[in-house]
Formats: sequence, C-alpha cells, structure tokens
Amino acid sequence: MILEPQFIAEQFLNSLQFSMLLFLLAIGLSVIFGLMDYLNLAHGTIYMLAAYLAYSLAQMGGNFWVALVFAPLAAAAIGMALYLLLLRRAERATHLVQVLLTVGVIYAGTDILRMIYGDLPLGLSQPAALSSPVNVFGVSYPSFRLFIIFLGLLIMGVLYFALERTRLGALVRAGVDDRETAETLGVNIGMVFMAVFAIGTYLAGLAGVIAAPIFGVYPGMDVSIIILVLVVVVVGGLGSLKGAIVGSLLIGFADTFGKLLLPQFAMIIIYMVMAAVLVFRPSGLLPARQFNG
Amino acid sequence: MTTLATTNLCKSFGALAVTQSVNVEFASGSRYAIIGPNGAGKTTFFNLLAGNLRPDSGQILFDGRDITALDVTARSRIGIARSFQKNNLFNDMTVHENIALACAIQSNSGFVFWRPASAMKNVHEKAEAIAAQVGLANERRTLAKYLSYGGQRQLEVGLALACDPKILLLDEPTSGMSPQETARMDELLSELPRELAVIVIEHDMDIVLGYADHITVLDYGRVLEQGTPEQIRSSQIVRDRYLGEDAFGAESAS
Amino acid sequence: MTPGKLRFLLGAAIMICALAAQLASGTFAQELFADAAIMAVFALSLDFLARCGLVSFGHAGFLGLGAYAFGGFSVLMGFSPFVSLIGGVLAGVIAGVVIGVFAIRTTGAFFIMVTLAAAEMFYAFVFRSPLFNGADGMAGVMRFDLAATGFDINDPKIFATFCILICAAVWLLLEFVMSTPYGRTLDAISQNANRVAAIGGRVFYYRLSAFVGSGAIGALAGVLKAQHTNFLSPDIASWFVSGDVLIMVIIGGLGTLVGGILGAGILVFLKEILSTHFGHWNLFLGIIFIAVALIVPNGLIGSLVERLRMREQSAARDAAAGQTAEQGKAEP
Repeated sequence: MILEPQFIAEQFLNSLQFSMLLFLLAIGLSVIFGLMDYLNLAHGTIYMLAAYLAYSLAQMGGNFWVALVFAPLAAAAIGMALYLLLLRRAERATHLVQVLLTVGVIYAGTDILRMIYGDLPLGLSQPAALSSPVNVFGVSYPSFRLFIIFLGLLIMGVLYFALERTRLGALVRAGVDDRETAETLGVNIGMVFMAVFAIGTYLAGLAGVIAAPIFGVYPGMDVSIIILVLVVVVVGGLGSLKGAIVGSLLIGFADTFGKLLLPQFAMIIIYMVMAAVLVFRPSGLLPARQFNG
Repeated sequence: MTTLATTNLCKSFGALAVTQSVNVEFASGSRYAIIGPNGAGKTTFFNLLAGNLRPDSGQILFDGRDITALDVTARSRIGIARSFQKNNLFNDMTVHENIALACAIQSNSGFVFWRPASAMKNVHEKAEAIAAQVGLANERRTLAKYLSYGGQRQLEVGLALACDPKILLLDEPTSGMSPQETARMDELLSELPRELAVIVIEHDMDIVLGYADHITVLDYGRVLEQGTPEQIRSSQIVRDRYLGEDAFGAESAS
Repeated sequence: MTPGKLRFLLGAAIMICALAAQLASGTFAQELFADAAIMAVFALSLDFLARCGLVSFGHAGFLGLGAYAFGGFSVLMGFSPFVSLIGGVLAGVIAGVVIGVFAIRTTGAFFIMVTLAAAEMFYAFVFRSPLFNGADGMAGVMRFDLAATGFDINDPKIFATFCILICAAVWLLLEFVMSTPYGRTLDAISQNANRVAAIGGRVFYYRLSAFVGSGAIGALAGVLKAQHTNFLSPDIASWFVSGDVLIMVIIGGLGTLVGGILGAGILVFLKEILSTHFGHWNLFLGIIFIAVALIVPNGLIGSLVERLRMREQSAARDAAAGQTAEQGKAEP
C-alpha cells in the first residue's frame, strides 16, 4: 500500500469526482422525498435511462457533448411523463404503496431497456477534448474526471443560488419546511412538485450521462448506485442542499478510500459511517427539518 | 397529598419565549384552571408538565422530587396523565380497546405475550368502568374514528383516566363541542374523584369559574395572575388583558 | 362474518388446499409448494414487524443470515441439523438486537433505508467471503433427519408437507401473539406511537422485541431455504429478495398476516409461470406490481378485511344508537 502524496492526491480527486456523481442523484431524491414525501426508488432508473439514451445518441453519430445536452432532457421528459401518468396517483398513498409502485417501474423499466439494448454492458466514449490528462496537485489526472468535479461544483452553486435567491427556491424551502402551511398560504404546491420532480430527474439524467464513460452502461446500474444514494440521503439528512453536499462528500470519500484500504469491507465501512451518524442524529446530519419519518 | 410544582420554568423556540419563569403549584384534592388568550403558551406549559417538551431552564417537582429529566412515559407512570387538545386516539381500535390498552399498560401487562388479551378480566372490568365514567358505555364497540367529535373528546379524557393518575391534565376538553356535549363534559368533570388534582385548560369561562378552586392566567408565557375565582374576577390586570369589562355582565366588583 | 374469522377461514383454506394440491402433483410442483411455504414464513416475519408500524426493506438479510449460519454450523462445523437450526435462529436474534438498537431509533422511510443498507452489508460480506465460497456459493447443506419418524425428508412431497406445516405453525403462533396484550400494544404503536408513550408504554422496547422476533422467524425461513436448495448463495440476501417479500406482503395486505401467505404463494407461482412463457418476465411482474399499487393498495385480503370492518362498524353504530334511543325512552 503506497502512501505517497501523489497517490493520496489522486484518490482525493477520485473521491471528489464520485461525490459529485452521488450528489447529482442524492439532491433530487432528497428534495423529492423531503418536499413531496414521495419515496421514489425509480430515481436510479432515470439515471440508467439517460445513460442508455446517451449511448444511442452517440451511436447515431453524435458525440459526448450532444449526449450531455440532450440525453438528460429526454430522460427528464420521460420521468415527467411517468410522474404525471403514474407516480402522481400514489402521492397521498403510504410509503409502501409508493415502494410497490416504484419497484414495479424499476422491474418494467429495466426489462424494457434490456429488450431494446440487450444484456451486455455498453460503452460511451469520453469526449476527445477531455482525453488528455492535466496536472493537478502534482498528479497527472484525467481531464474528464476533472470536468465532472467542476460540473458538480457548478451545479452545487447554481442550486444554492436557486434555492436561496429565487422565488421557486423559496417556495421549495417553504414546502419542505411545512407543506400544509405553504398550501394554506396559497402556494400552488402541485406546480412546485412538478418543478422539483423535473429538476430532480434532470440531474439524475445528467449523472447518468457523465457516469457512462467511466462506469459503462449496463442493466442493473440503477440498483448498484441507488443503494449508495440512499445512504447519502440518510446520512446527509432529508430535503436540504447542504445535507446532500455533506452526505455525498462523506460517502464518496468513505467509498473510495474504503475500497482502497479494506477492499473486502468497503461496504461495511460505509454502513458503519451511517450507523454512527444515526446514533447521534437519527434524522441525518443536516436535515431541512426534523422529520418524523 | 401529591403535589406538582414548577419553579422558574422557561422555554423558548428560537427567538420566541413561549414560557417565561412560570411558578405554579398544584396539589391533590383541588381543581385548577389555566386560562389565557390564544398563544399565551398554555398547551406548551402542559407539554412541559407532561414531558412532551424539555424546558430550557427551571424545574418541575413532583412531591418535592425533581422530575424535569423524566420523559413522557416515565411521568405517566408516576401519576401524571394528560389529554390532548387535538384528538390523539387509537383510531382503528374500539373505545373499549383504547381504554383497555391504557389499563393493561398501566398494570404492567403490556408485554404479556402468552395470554390472550380477552383473558385479562381485571383490565376489562376497569375499562368498562372508565368507559361508563366518561359516558361512552353504549359505544364501547365503536371504532374511535367513527365516534362523534364529542365522543372522541370524551375518549380523550377516558384514556388519561385509564392511567390511574394522581395529577390529571386536560387540554381544552370541551373545545369544538356543542352546548349539549359541553354540558355532558362539565358533568363528567365535576364527577371526577376528589383526591385527583385536575388541571384544565379552558376558554369557556362559565366552566372555569364554576369548576376551579384556583386559576392561573397566562399571557405571553408569563403568569399574569393567580388566585381564586373571586380574585381573578376582581383583578384589573386580568380584566384589561383578557376578560374584558363585560365578562360578567352587570356584575363588576370595582 | 368478522374480519378475524375471515382471516382464519382464508388461512385454513390456503393451508389445506396447499397440502392437498402438493400431495396430488408432481415433483416439480412440490418443490414450488415448498418454496412458497418457506417464502410464506418469511413473509409472515415481515408482516409481524409491520404490525408495529415498522417496514423493513432489508429482511433478506435475516433470511441470508439464517441460511448461512445454518450452513456454517452444519457443514463447516459439523453440528447436527437440529442444533444448527437453533444456531441459525439464534443468529437472527442476535442480529435483530444489534441492528435493532440502531435502526429502531429511526422511523418510516428512514427505517426502510437503514434496514436496506444493513442487508446490503451482509450481502456484500458473503459475496466476498472465502469462507462460504463467495459468489460461487456453498453446496452440501443437509436437511433434518426425520428417519426416526419413518419419513424421508429428501422426498419432495415430505419436505413440502414439512414446510407447509411449519408455515401453519408460525402463522397460528403469530395470530395468537397478536391477540395478547403485547400484540395489541404493537397494533396501537403502529396507529399512534406517541399516545402509547403518553399512556406509559416504552415504545422502543416493544419495537425492538418485535424486530428481534421478526428476525428470528426470518432466520428460520432462511434455515428452511438452505435445506430446500441444499445450497447457499449470496443472492439469498440480495435486495431483490427483500423487495420480493415486501411485495408479497403488500399484495396480500399489510398487517393481515394471512395476506403474506397468499402473497407468497401468488408471487412464487406467478414468477414460475411467467418465466417459463416469457423471456422478459420482469416487465410483466412490474406491470402487476403497478396495477396492485394503484387498484388494491390495501392488498387483496386487506381490502376484504377493510370492507368487512366497515360493515361491522355500521352495524355496531346502529346498535349503539338503538341502545341510546331505548335508554332515552326509558328515562322519564
């Protein structure tokens, strides 16, 4: 095990990059649950869908950038259609009914993608413009991964601004804090829900496209990431941007360094982190409010 | 004799001071009322007494013992029971089942998993008695969620009584009730055992003045005035801030 | 017909039909019945937990733990199947305590996520564990020795009967426990945990004990599963299995107990039928889940029970109104 500063720096950057991916998925899931009280396990399916769509766009002659622009939009549109046609019906139902519904969507969605694309893993090439490594902290680091880090930070900034400075952001924060009161004050909570769902699924789609060149495109990629995303949401706390940021950083680093130091027990480390957080803060580190489940 | 007292009890929610240095004492054998305008902090005070909230500072003493650190469950077991302002029942259980459950838990049979509940004769007898006491004898088999609103308020009191309390806290027992229902609740309250210390939060001044031996007036979290009904009636401060000059019609003891 | 009687009748009917049907069918069907019965035990363990308001999405962890503990004790350490069974169930109890102490602090959706994570932890461990051959799995798991009774446990007919009888026993045991003060308190906690605390009940300990009991039964199901396939595979603890059993319970009706048995039977046989006829049968399964979620959210038996309860209630209310009217007439 090499403890050279270069190696550590590289792993530090890897952790950061993975955290960004987790963040993009976690923020959508967290705010959707915090605001709408909707346990949408099919969030990962949108992520997977966008990756497959990106693959198709690339196959049709486009490149990564085309995919980056259009695939998340397409995935978000499909996600919105899913919401309006199907998911919205269980909005007032118990979490369990939502679990049943969204698990049904996962099963059906996975099979539909498998029917179209087959079972084998597919690939998406990294953009040519970002194929040469860059020197960071004395480390020669792939520029695509750096791009992911910057994109993630950019989105964090945009979301922060949107939540704190825009009207929609204020409505979202009010709705997360106390939905009933917001409604009685005349907030069209239905519109806010749709906006949040649209943005959340768009970010999930974005995550799918940028993950594709690194992790590949394969059936079951939704499941393999959603577990970690759930841990991020639990650890970070529901409904808050800060919570999603802190949670994704914590888990991103725990996962990367865990796999490095104790590969057999990487998952166990993550769950110990989660257990430790829950002992002291049963609602997560920075929840938007104290949730009663 | 059992006493429940608070010394300099304080509670704030952020910048809002909801309870400010409240000193009150309650003793068994007497009837108390806590009154005050909306937002005065009455329910918060009950939450502090019952253990639903922790105070920021001050103490709560039960028979001289500091119980400030005890939680709701522990306080319920030493003899402090409360009813809630908003109905807080077991909606999918019948009236009888609601009360019987409280009786079973209080008699430490909650964890009995080797005998059917129907075999617990003592519990059932006690539950029947309490149901009759709160006027729900005929509706024992009705699910709580299907009771009339007044019936649910009666069950609220019944659940608190089932805890065999020494101190009974009733949060607006007549809130939302029709005149007939209010009269029934009034009767129920006056028939409560004398040894029980009953503390009622109420807005209905007729009930308060007819029932309480001692009244505490809260305003913005502070104790505005405490005393017998006559003292409160004649208090200028109370009249100005809460009751108004015409509260007692032509009577004004100036 | 009260809801309680309906549930008992349905349960008895399912048991008897299952016993008769499997005796009359071929070996392959008998294996399915055994599988369904084992999943029914598993579903019962989950539904029992749901009665106190906790829904676990990681119950496959207990299933896997029971199976692997049984395998470990019997194959690796050479204990008899019966002793290993005790070991398996005990493992479930210990895990229930250790995980419960952390998990029960959370509620609702958080509890769902925490239990999922805990199960994944176990899955990840056995997936990589050289002790149990990791992903390749471990063979050689033996069943109980019933030679003393003259029955050959390796006969699919006998094993299926055995599993169905165990399912019936677990079901009756749980129905009994739910009729005790302890069970009533669990029900109350699922309806209004705060009020239970206010009337003197220590909610945490009720929930923890239910979690431990549920884990023990889940582990028992795991032991049976290991014996059924004579094989241990990490997939037994995957979140798909946790999802499957949750769906079994929801389809039947959460909290009805017998609903879990029905749901288990339906899902096991449905999967078999679908997979033999269609390549991508997960699609159909998904559609069925969506349909059930939207059309009968209370589950099949749950909806029936709910309707009966409402009818029972209007009858009771009419009776009460009649009584009060009578009293009114009687008084001067």
